Amino acid sequence: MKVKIKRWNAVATWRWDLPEDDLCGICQNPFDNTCPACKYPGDDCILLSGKCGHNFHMHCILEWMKQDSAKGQCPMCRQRFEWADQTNQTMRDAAQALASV
Amino acid sequence: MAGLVVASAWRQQRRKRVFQSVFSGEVTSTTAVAGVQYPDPGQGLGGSKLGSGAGHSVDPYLAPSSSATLGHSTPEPQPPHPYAPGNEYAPGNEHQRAYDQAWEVVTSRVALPASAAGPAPGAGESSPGLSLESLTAAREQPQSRRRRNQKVDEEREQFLQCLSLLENAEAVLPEARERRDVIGWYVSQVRAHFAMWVVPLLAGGSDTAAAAAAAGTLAAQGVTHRRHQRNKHSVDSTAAGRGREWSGGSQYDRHMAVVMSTIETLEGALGMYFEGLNSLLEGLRRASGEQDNSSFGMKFKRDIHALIANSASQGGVMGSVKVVLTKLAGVILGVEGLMVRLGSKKGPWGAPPAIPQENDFDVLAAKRKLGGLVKQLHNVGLTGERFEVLFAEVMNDMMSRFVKGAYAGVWAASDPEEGNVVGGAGTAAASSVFTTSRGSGGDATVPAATSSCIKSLKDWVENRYAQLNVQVLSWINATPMSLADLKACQSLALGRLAALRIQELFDIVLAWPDAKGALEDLKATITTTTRRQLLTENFSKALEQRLLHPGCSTLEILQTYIHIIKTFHALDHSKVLLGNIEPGLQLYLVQREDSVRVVVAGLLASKEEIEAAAKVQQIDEDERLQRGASGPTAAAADLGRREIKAQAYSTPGVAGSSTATTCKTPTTRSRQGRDSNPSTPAPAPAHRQGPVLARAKKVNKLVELAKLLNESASVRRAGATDDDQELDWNDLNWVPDPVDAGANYKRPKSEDVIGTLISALGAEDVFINEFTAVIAERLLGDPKSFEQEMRVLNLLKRRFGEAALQKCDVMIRDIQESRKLNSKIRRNNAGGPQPSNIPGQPPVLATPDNKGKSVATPQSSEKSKEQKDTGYHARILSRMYWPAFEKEHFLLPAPILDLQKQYEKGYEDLKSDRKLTWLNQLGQARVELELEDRTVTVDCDTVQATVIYAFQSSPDSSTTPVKKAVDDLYLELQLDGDLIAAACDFWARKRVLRKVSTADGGVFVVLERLSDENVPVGEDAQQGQAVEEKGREKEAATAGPKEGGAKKLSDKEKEKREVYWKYIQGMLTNSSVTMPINQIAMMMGVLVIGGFSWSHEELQSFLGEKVEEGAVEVVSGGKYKLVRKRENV
Repeated sequence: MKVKIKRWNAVATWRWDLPEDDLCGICQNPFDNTCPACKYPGDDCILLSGKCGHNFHMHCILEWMKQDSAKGQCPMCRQRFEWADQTNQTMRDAAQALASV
Repeated sequence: MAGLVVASAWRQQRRKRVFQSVFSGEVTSTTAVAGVQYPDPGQGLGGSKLGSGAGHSVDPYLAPSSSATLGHSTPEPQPPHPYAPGNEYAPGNEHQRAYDQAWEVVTSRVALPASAAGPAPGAGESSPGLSLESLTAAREQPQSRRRRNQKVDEEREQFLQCLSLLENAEAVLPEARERRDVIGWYVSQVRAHFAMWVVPLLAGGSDTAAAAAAAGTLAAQGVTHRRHQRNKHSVDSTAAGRGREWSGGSQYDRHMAVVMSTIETLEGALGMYFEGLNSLLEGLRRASGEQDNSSFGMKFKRDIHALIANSASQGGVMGSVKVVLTKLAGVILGVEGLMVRLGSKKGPWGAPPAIPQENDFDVLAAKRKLGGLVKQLHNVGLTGERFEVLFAEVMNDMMSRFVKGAYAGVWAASDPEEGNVVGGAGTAAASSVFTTSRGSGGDATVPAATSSCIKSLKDWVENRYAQLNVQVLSWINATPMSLADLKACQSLALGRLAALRIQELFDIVLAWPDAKGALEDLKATITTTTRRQLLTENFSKALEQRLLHPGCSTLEILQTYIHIIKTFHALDHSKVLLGNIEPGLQLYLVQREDSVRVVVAGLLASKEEIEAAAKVQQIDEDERLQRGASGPTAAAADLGRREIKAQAYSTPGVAGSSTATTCKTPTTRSRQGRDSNPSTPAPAPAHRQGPVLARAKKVNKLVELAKLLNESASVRRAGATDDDQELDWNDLNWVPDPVDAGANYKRPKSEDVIGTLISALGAEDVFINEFTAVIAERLLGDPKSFEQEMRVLNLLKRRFGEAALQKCDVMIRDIQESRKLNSKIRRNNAGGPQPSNIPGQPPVLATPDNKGKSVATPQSSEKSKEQKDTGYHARILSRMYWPAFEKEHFLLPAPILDLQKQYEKGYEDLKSDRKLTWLNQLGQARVELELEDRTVTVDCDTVQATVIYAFQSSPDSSTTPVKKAVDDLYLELQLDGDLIAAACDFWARKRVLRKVSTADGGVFVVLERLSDENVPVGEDAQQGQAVEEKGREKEAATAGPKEGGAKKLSDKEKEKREVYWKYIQGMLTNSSVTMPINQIAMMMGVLVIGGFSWSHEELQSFLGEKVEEGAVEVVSGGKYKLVRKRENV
């Protein structure tokens, strides 16, 4: 018998490629979930990683940075928050947006 | 026995009282001392003693008294005897003598014939045979006497003289001290005669009268028997049997004969009494010259009528009168014919039956007969209060029977034309007594007649029922019926109709929407709170008895529920009634675990399914009509139709996999089973209908919901405008809120079946969770489009809010995004260089199954070609939004693994910083199997595809079919053994594999040629067959979308058990060392977040397992205790 597979519909789940700290430090939602303002996870609600090693939903950290009390610090470790090198184009854009703030 | 004695004693007492009341005043006093005051004329002064002495020994009047026919006590009236032999008088008392002589003349003239038969002692005993003959003779006697009078005028002259002598005795014969009241004497005579001769005739009227009438000996026996039966209160079996025979049509004739003979008897007796009285009164009038003593005649008449009425009530005559009345009234009112119709059991949905018209011959005849009868009864005084009560009873019975007979099962929607015909006939024939009732719509008690049933019923009451009433009442000179009485009658009749419809309501619900007429009836008649309450109670009871039991599937219950919602909405827009009957139903539905699933599946039913359901319904309808028309013989045509129906059933299933010729999805398989059904000889159509319908329901889902959903969109838009408005001032159909509405009652706008149904299923989140699960299943089931899903989702969003259903939104978007991504990645991969194996991943060659798959990896050209052939798609899910899937690890076929890696790489290129986790057990595949004699294409799931791939022959050893054991496959694929076995069974059913042995969990061999199928392989073949059968059953049981669900559930369940175990451990450590199971359950209920979902039994079995494991022990009193580990002690 010869078996030919004509069609294969697979199923997979995605996750952010992060070490296991699952929750966003600001909104306390899992990273794979959205920030409170968004509806769809993934591309619509991306993450931003700081050089300090802390990650946040982009919307969350932007919101944080807008506040005066933030003083441009990471809310977790109070170091100056600088974004890590973003491989993704959208992330780069976001980082630039953050810098302009 | 004692009771009987008391009763008879009471009856005697009562009769005595009646007698006394009738002959009251001066007459009563004379009765008491009759023997003293009125001695036998011939006996003179000593007569009193003598008479009483003789009376005590042989007095015939004592006989009936002691036999309890006549309740008279001791001082028996001694009837004077006109022909008694002469007596001696005290000398010198000439006056007294003259008086006595005059007395003798007078009394002998008016004496009643029974006693005229001879001297008191002897004659009384010899005359028990006296009956109608003697009475008729007696009746004729006055006439003959009159004739004699004409001849012998002086006799009459003498009588008058003597009478005037008696009357004027005081003046003419002052010496005669013994003076008597001749009227009083006569009255006592009459009373005694009545008691002696007529009462037995009335009481035993049926016996004697029938015998005397000698109309038919059989009839007489019949009546006698019936009487005996009734008297003895015992049911003799033969008598009962005969009684049944007689209860036929001729029963009425017998009772009629009884009534007529009774009337005759009474007429005779009365004629006699009045004859004597009148001659007496006339004489007295002449003697005294007064003119006003006719009032006494009236009084006498009234008294005697009362006496008769009262005596008759004791006997069987009134029973006979009732039978006769019932029959005649039945004919006149057209009820008799209805009873026949009811007996013949025609189907429902008929039109209201034609009521025989007023001028029908039978009706006229019956009316004339009734008129004559009632007038006669009135003449003899049998139309007293007792008769009125009887008549009222009969008429009451008539109304009930008419309503039941005419309208039971008549549910057709009102046809205005037909209503007009009935109404028109009614009014045309109306020599109506009350013509005002129609059109006087202002009457609050009688609602405006809308349905044809109500209209015809009101007509009937007005033109037939009331008319009969009025006539009968006028015949018996009773208070005539007023207009208010007619209204009362009509509303009474409507009440009966309401009661009938309430009883039928459950069937009406089932017949929806064919029974709208019945609903209109009900709507118009349930105007009072009591009736509404009655409806609620009755319907709830019917629900419990007929629907809410384990015999009904959840689908059936829900379908009925939809009908209930619609019916009750038609009945009562306010929904208060529905709200009243709902709680029981909802409570029951919540207990049914699958109810939410059924509803969701129904909501999501596809268009094809709806159409198929409609087709099935149509066919059923046709079949019903066909059978009604041509009887049960049209078997061939039936068969053909069933074929069509089978196809109709299977269309929805085919939609997903139509191209594969040999593919056998569950639906097509079941279709095969159905196709084979007609070939078996079917015993009777009704028999076949049952299972077919049942299956139809099973297949159909709750497609009504989907249909409603499609319809509701437009309706909703129309009704959306006035949602906010408090009150529409232009709404002419506005009615106030019903009285039985609750405090915070809010008038609903539409029937909203779906909303009601969803809210009936318990908590919102339960429904949403279930909906999410179902949607997830369907989305993973590779749907072509999600149109229906989107629509349902939007509906639910409106109901539950956007946030609650966000998950579903994300899921749908995931699937849409995945499609885009698929084409993107494929394009990228096709353009880019052939991807190599990513280092770090487990190489395919390293797996134990490399022997079987070695084909795939080395020759890259062949591989790429194969990969191009394979359409690889993936769905990438956002894991937080989908139900939790357990990752089932197993090794995919090598080419697929490669494709998967390519895809993964493509994905990670596109979406940086994201990783994929493959859920290999989910998804579908299509495989093409090239066997030696055939090629098979099958759609299956990924596990099945993986298993069959493992059976692929290696190119070098192509001659012998591949043979593998489940246990070997377990090692090769690293897949759960049960799943492998299930997949192998699946392929065995597809006739691709063949089970040859049960060793090592089952050994399967590829069935290269179909002709090999029946070649026995080893001794296990038989057994293998059996196992295969079993497997099929198992597969059938878990078939369809539930397969994945069950699996998921068991994983969840495992998790749950672990959590619960932690709780129990903590409980037994911290709060109490030993605990009974009840307390554990209670504590769990308090502690577990989201509620403790286990039943008592589940908890018990769980703890039982733990006891077996040795983690828990049972100590005294059935308490559980943790087993302490050695180290801890």
